[in-house]
Amino acid sequence: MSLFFSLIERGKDNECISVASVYTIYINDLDWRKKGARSFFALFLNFGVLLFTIIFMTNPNIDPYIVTLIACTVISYINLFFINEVNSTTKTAFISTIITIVIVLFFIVIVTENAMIQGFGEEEIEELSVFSLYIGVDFVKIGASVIIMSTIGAIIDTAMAIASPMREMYHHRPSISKKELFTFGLSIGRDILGTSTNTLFFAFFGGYLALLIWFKDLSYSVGEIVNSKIFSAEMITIFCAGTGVALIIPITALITAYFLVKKRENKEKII
Amino acid sequence: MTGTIKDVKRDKFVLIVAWVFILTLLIVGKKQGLLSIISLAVNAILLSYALDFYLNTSNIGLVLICSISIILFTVFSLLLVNGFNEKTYAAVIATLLGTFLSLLIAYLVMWLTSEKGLRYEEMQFITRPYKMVFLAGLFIGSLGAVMDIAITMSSSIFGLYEKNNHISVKALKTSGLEIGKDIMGTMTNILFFAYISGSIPMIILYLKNDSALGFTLSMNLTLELARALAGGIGIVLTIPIGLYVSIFFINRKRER
Repeated sequence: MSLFFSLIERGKDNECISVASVYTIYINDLDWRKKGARSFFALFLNFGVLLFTIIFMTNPNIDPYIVTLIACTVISYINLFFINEVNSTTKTAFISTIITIVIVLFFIVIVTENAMIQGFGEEEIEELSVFSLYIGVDFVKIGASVIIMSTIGAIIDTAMAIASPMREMYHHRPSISKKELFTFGLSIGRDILGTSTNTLFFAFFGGYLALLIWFKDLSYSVGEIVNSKIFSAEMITIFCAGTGVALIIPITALITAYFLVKKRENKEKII
Repeated sequence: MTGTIKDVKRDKFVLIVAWVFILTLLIVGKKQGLLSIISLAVNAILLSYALDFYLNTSNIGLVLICSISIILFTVFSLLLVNGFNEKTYAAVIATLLGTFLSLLIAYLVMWLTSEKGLRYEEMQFITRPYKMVFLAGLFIGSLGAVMDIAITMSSSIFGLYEKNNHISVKALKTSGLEIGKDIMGTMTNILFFAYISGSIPMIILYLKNDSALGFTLSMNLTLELARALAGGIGIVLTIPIGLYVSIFFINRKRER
């Protein structure tokens, strides 16, 4: 309870953020039955999940990977089943998301542990001198978790963007074959691949603009830039995010095609 | 000869991950994948040159340089990946209008509230005036989301027109707004996760050093939230802008 009130207290000081939030709320038009309002409320739910994830990660006895996987599942659940109803499209998107996340997490773990990009870099460490760094939490695992959590939004969005039109296509041509459906899904994915990667790219670069300016001002050589912890962590994050977004496309297309056609085959068996 | 060990050599891994990314993109995306990679590379080079230019010239604002870069990024990326057609032109115009408008609104809000609540102390590697750097970063960050929404709106509206050449402007408007509302929420979620996840290690550090939760969140998240909200405002604005620009192009096409 007191946590809640202290957050409200902070809210009074944060006029800037409040005004911006109010503006977005106004535009989103809070009618519960409408999807727009549900999507907006989902933002708060997502924030809540992130908060719990962070709090669980501070406990050294819990493996961060498990927390991340559970968090990703809950987030996919919220974004797919709460905003859109439970139907064949969202179910296949959900399964595809989970599969992709497990694959990408596996890959990220290997890279993070070898490249040693966890924690804080040289440039950040001076400002953290106030803090004790002996906090007993496994930052390697947290580093990998962070990379996955950054991508999950894009992965879920891409999964829906593919599964949804595939279902429409299936309704328009119920006799479509699995292979044709799969190719259709892939072609949709190709169209959105470019803009999805661009979105992630610009979002990350916008956030780290200050770092890039720092590198240039202090005349880092190309070698020093690429080997610096923060820059390589950022680049690896962007590339993993991009790989995740690219991978979800064939996986979703495959699973959705399989399920849609199987549903039809089951109907035919009954008849 | 002696040497000292400075740090871990990481370029090998960055390169490996880069190649995995490029291969996946090429296998899944084929031609479009290749074009995406090219546009990413060109954007990165453009950004690098823009920053060099800014750093070596005095008196030119960072925001101005970013504005010009953004125009170049948009035009180049969209034309390359989507081709020279009216869909692209509509998307380019919608993107530019949406991004600039969202920056304007963000700037107004910041000015009106005197930025109370924004914790600039969070910015770490700062060698230049911090407000400019923050605004420029905001600008570039929202560009990505706005571009995505603009091209989605443009493709959908033109798609509807291509299926039925006689579709009324009113029907286009209604469908367009429906499509927009569908994608609005998920887009905002993408931005949200991309920005806020980066702060997780810092938040954990603060919490484990016994800082209060409220203090931790306010110190670490305000800038990220501002970025995400600016992006959100951009997204919400681009939906009607994209819609009307596409309709304008369609009407022009009809008159021919």
